[in-house]
Amino acid sequence: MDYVLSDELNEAIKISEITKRPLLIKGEPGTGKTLLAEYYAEQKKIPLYKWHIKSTTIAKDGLYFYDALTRLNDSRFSDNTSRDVNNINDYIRMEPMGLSFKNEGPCALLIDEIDKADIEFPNDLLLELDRMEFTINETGEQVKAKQRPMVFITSNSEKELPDAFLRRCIFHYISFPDELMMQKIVKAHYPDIDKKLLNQAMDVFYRIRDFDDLRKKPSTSEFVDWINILLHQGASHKDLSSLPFVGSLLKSEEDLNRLK
Amino acid sequence: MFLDFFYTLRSKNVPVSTREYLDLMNVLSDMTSRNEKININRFYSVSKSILVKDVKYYDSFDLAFSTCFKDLVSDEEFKNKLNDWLQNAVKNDLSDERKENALRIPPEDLIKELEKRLKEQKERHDTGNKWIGTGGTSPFGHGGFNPEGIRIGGQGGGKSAIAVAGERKFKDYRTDEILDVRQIKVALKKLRELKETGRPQLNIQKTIQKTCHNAGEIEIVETKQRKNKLKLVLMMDVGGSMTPHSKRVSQLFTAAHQVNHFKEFKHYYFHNIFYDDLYKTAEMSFSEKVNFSKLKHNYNADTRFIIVGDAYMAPYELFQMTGNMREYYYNFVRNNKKSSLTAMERVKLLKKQFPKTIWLNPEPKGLWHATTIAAIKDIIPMYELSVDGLQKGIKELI
Repeated sequence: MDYVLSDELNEAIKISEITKRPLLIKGEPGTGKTLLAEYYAEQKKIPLYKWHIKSTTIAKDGLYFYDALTRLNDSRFSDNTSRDVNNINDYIRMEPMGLSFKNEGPCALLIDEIDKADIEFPNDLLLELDRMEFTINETGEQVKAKQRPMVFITSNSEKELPDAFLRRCIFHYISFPDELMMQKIVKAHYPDIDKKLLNQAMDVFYRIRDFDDLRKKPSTSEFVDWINILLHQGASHKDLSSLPFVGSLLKSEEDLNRLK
Repeated sequence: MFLDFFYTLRSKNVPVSTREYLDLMNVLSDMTSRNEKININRFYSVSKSILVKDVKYYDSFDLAFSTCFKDLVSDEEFKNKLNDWLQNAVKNDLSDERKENALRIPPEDLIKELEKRLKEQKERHDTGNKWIGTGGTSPFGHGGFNPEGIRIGGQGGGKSAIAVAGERKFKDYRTDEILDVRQIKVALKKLRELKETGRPQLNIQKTIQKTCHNAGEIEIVETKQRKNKLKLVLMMDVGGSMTPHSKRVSQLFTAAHQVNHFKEFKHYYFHNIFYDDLYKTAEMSFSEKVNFSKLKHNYNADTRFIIVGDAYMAPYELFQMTGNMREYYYNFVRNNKKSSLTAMERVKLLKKQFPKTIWLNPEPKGLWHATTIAAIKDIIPMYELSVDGLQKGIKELI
């Protein structure tokens, strides 16, 4: 996978490993918060468990799920099933966080966009993240991580996170890459890109970002997409000033009009 | 020096506690025990990750960092200081444990010492600390330290941490200074009062759950939806002395308008202070106005009011009947209708009718001793028009 790790971010990951605390990552959308966890798992060749948070997610959703409905169904029409209705464990399924605790050996856990859930949600996870254990209420079984998973948490700061939760995290803010970093990122994705084209594209891109009135400034991922389109369409570096395929950089009509 | 750094952070309102301090020590002693090279750049990024938990404190952190470490010249010097610190802090009666396991330093003694120092710091802090500037301006310029003067070994072309810290790249993320529409929205989201509304509806998930718990005996569960029932009225001072603040006020308005989670959101304009009429548009045309006395009929008592204004005016405008010349002329001279209340009485009345009212003032706190501001502040709790102020105010409103 192509991912360019800045020195500071690298440092933050190391610290998070030493202190055994979750790494909380914030940053503009499209700066590679989620990709980081995938990259990390790939580099270390360890499994990654992903838990994507939605507005309705509650803390228990990430631990385990008791499939009562299937059990009820099996109890009535249990002709050809391998599950044993009398064994409740057959109906308990581990969810990402539970899976990462049960995993033998090192692994990573990604809690993606934690701010999507209710304001109280992070607080409900404190104990599980601290002790890396939880109890399955239905059976009384204790699930405890043999080896603490490396935990990545991403947030878009839609809601503020509670202090008690922040205390337990190592924090890193991915700032928008400067031009040097951006060149590295693009080259990681497209090693043979024409230098002139890249320079031109960068020039246009940073000029667009300099417009203060834009509702959503284009981010790294949009820039990489744009380069991809340019390369596929065989755009020569002459016609960049006419902003070809600018729709991949600016996603709202308002912004497009403003740019014109 | 490192403890100093820690207290400087605290004096700049970065919420660091013993826990962060111990974490930092653990990480650094772990790194040194593995003979990893630590120079000031590395220390900058390491301490930043551990001590700071939100991007809004990055700027304060950078300021504190460059204040505390600007005098260091070389890596060598930094290394010595760091070693001194780590050894001194751990030496006293913990050295055996430390040898055993660098990650598990019993922290009791450190905490005690820290608490003692924290108390001292508070006292010194009160008598005025040279680090605390007004209005968030940097107490030292970029020129205060010459980037060429800082030698960094083996970092060809790289910037020194101090120079990076001095750039204050994260200034825009401070919340005590600036208001950003998105941040205001986050703050306003807290303003909610959930209430079950509407007809109960079949909750399939819970019905299944209940039925299964009953071993198959069907039990229907009905629940009601929860909605925010909170009503918000925003009253904004426009024109005159408010003109320089118009950008911040409009940001607040935009955010409140966009949040879209209140049961009802209304806004009114006034100039200086509210007299007989409030206006629906910022141009304050007489055709679109609402009489002040109508407010209590239009809104119930637990409606939240946020008033934005500098509360700064000539005292007679607040305390006398003829305060508002324009209205006085329009209502009294032309229509022979006399106003019955002074503006001040109206402020009191508003607070009485709607106890959950706050005032956001764009002027810095230092000016709040002015007659009219102080008088209004006595009646309506006043906060600064910043994200921090808004957050504090919202706590008052909930």
